[in-house]
Amino acid sequence: MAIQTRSLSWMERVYLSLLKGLGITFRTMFRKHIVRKYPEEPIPRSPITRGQPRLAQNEDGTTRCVSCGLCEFVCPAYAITITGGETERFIEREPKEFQIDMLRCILCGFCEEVCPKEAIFMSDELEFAGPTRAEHVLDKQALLRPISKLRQRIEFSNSIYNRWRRTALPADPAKNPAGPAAEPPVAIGVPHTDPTVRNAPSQDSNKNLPTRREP
Amino acid sequence: MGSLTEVTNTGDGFMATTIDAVVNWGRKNSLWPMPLGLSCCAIEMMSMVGPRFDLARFGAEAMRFSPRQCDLMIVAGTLTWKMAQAARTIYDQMPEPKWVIAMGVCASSGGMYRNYSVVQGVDLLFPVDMYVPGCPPRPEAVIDAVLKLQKRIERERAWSTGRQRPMPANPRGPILARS
Repeated sequence: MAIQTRSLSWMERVYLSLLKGLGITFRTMFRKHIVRKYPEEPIPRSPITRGQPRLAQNEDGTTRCVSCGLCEFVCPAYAITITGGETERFIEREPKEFQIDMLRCILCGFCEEVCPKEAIFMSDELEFAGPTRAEHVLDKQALLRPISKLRQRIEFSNSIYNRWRRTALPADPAKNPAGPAAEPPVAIGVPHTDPTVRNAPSQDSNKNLPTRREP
Repeated sequence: MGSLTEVTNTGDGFMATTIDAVVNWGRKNSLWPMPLGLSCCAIEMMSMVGPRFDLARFGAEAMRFSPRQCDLMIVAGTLTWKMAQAARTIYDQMPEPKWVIAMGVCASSGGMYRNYSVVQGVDLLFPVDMYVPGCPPRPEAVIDAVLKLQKRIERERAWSTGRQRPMPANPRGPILARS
């Protein structure tokens, strides 16, 4: 079998074909960069971004959490620790201690999904390196965030979780001291407009549930 | 260590602090990472050294896979007890000065896996300088950790009184039910 050889051009013999490679280098050097210059350019966020979980705080400073313990129960990493306590408000319960170990939290969002009071949301906070383990265990004071800061995430999570909520929660529980029972329930289940979901539910999602057949 | 430290007893003199500043500047701006990529966080670490989130902008360009040539070990992923001996060997093979970043919750504290096979935090095996929460932490969050580590290195006493590294008091460390 003959080995195919190719005779070199004069440029290659004089090693000037180096310029061809250098041309590619210089062309790439002056092309537009795709580097995101991080500390100067902040991390791009969207409502879908799941950052660290934070407790929602109403405008009057009260927490929405009633320390039901659902988030603690559903957390796959057992990162949440709650101690319930009493309060004089209508809700009667609020957490005495609420602790999330951020070095256990996997940012799954289950706590946000299961919360019946819209009290915990995945904020957009993502950058928290630290030299000790203890500083990452956040207590209730460190976790509270006013709902004005969580607005985008609240709207997004409502748009996806309202599919299986029968009634809407009152916008601000503190504004209705008589309690949620005093307000007429608003039926929801409006299909969200997420184009990536096939077979979005119809207007009344309860209508299409299968009924029990008589034996 | 040489005659310079004998001249200044406390190590706070002009010479010692100037040498500290120069040595620390050199060390912090040329951290060569040893990527201990164990699982999913390794993917984010790879993307961190890629072109979009460029770690080479901060000097940590040369990712050598031999611990003998590195000074920063990034533990990226879940460390199991089966791998623990190898990880400790790699740490021991790194020459001083060395730093460790525990990237992600699995490396920092065992994360989601509270079981018999996962090391509940690599600080049970060797001292850690930076913990990065997240599962996985965004590449920018790890770059933030490297920048914070650089700030800590700036403040070290590199030459004058020797590096003070906090070793865990009990090498097995405290294992808590809810850490």
